[in-house]
Amino acid sequence: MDPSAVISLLLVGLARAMILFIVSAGLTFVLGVLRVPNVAHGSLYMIGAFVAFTIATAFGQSSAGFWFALILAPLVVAAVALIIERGLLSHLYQREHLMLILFTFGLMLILNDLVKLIWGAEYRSVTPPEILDGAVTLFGFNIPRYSLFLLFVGPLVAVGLWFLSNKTRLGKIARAASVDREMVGVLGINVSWVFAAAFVIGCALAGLGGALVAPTTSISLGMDLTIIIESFLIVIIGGLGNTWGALIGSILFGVSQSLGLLFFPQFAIAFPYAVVVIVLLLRPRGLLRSAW
Amino acid sequence: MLEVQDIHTYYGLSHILFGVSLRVERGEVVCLLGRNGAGKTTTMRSIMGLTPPRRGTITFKGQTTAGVPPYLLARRGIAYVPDDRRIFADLTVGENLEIAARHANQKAEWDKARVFELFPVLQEKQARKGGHLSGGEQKMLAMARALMTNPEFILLDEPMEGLAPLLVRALEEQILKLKQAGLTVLLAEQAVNSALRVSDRGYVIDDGHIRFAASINELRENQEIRSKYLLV
Ligand SMILES: Nc1ncnc2c1ncn2[C@@H]1O[C@H](COP(=O)(O)OP(=O)(O)OP(=O)(O)O)[C@@H](O)[C@H]1O
Ligand SMILES: [Mg+2]
Repeated sequence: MDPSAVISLLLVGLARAMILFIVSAGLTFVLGVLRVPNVAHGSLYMIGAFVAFTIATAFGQSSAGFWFALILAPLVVAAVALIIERGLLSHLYQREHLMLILFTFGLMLILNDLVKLIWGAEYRSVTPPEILDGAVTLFGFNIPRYSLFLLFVGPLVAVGLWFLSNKTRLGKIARAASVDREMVGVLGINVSWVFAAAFVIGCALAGLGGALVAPTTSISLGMDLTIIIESFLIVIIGGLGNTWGALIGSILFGVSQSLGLLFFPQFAIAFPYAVVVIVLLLRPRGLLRSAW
Repeated sequence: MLEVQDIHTYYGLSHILFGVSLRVERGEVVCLLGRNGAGKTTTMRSIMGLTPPRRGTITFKGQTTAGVPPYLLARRGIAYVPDDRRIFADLTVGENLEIAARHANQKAEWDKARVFELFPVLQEKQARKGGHLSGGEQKMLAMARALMTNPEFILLDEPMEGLAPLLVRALEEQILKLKQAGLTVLLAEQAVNSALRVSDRGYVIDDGHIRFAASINELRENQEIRSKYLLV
């Protein structure tokens, strides 16, 4: 096998892992701070992709259209998340986890129908902007420009999240609230708004993931299911609520997917799941420290 | 400043406080004495709005606290230092203090510099994770954190518990300094002698009932009360 082809494939896997990371980072953030396992997270990713399609199409699928979509789609998803949180979820925090799973599962079904209603069942696509189209040769490896772009955005989001959690007041309060929300309230902080902000930020990341994936795939109903399963697995192997865990988990998942394609094409789909099983056998609570 | 009238507080179905009444005037240090399980913490949780009473009334600065969530009571000027400290273990000492700081409108009397004056150990350990402090240091951090909210009235739940004798002395000094700074204190304690040294008045609670309310001198001298309810 041509080694440079292998490396190219790995880089592409790593790039896909960046999208997985962005989505799972949002999921794990909500899980860590609010203790809500948001099953509808994948639906918000799907909505992000469809909204990106609508915006890009409004601009005639031009380069500018892509950039607008990339910025606006997460904001639209954030708005949807705010409505969900204020209208419904904020009344349910006291309930046990099973209730929350059932609630967000119901939400997933509703959002799915909503998407079907608005965008229909056809496949949609977004054209990547010109400067990210095609491939470049770097150090002798052939790699799609869009993959390079993803490899740039992923770490950017990781750093952004680190900054948010460690350097901003909201982030510090969110970290405190994730362990002891009652005590945070005692300090005069309205935890309810902190939770709303955390939920909106987490969901906006799903929207960003959806917008980023849009040019690389056909946007369709059902993409919510694949991503929610993958990102829950990633969050679990990374350690619940741990952003860096989500990063490591995503890389493990994305790269093992590429390796599977390369070496065991007939088991390609199952390969990353086998990796998950092995990780969990060795470290049942995840690779990094779980917030739970 | 605080008036608790005939409150009944429950945890789920268990009835814990049976008509507790007490009052604390501005500028006083009042102790609430009682042994394990007497209802001291429950009284404080009731005042802070964490476990609101089902019956009875609590008024703070002339306003009822019924239906007011804890974060708003905190903004009205009540602070609570729980007996188990509840430090945010993942946050540094500095961060524990920062998130408690309230910048809005009022003249912030307490800031980091001022709490470090009161608890100098914390300054040296500012960058240390809260979870890596010793028990005594965590107690100080819990008090410092409460002060950062600029309270007028502070609920101290068994601050002396588990402290080495030397630290107990230091803490007594610190409580007196809080009083000098104009704070009003309700102090729940089992360490009767320490509590009596810093308080102006006291209540004795047992089994969810206030059994006795008296001046410090009376509490010191009444052996019957002390042996019956306080085991000293
Ligand atoms: N969460 C709870 N659920 C049910 N019962 C509780 C709960 N917390 C405390 N109790 C009960 O309420 C009673 C009073 O407890 P409380 O914590 O107020 O006592 P305390 O005076 O603070 O005691 P200690 O000195 O041990 O802190 C005890 O009998 C205790 O078992
Ligand atoms: Mg107690």
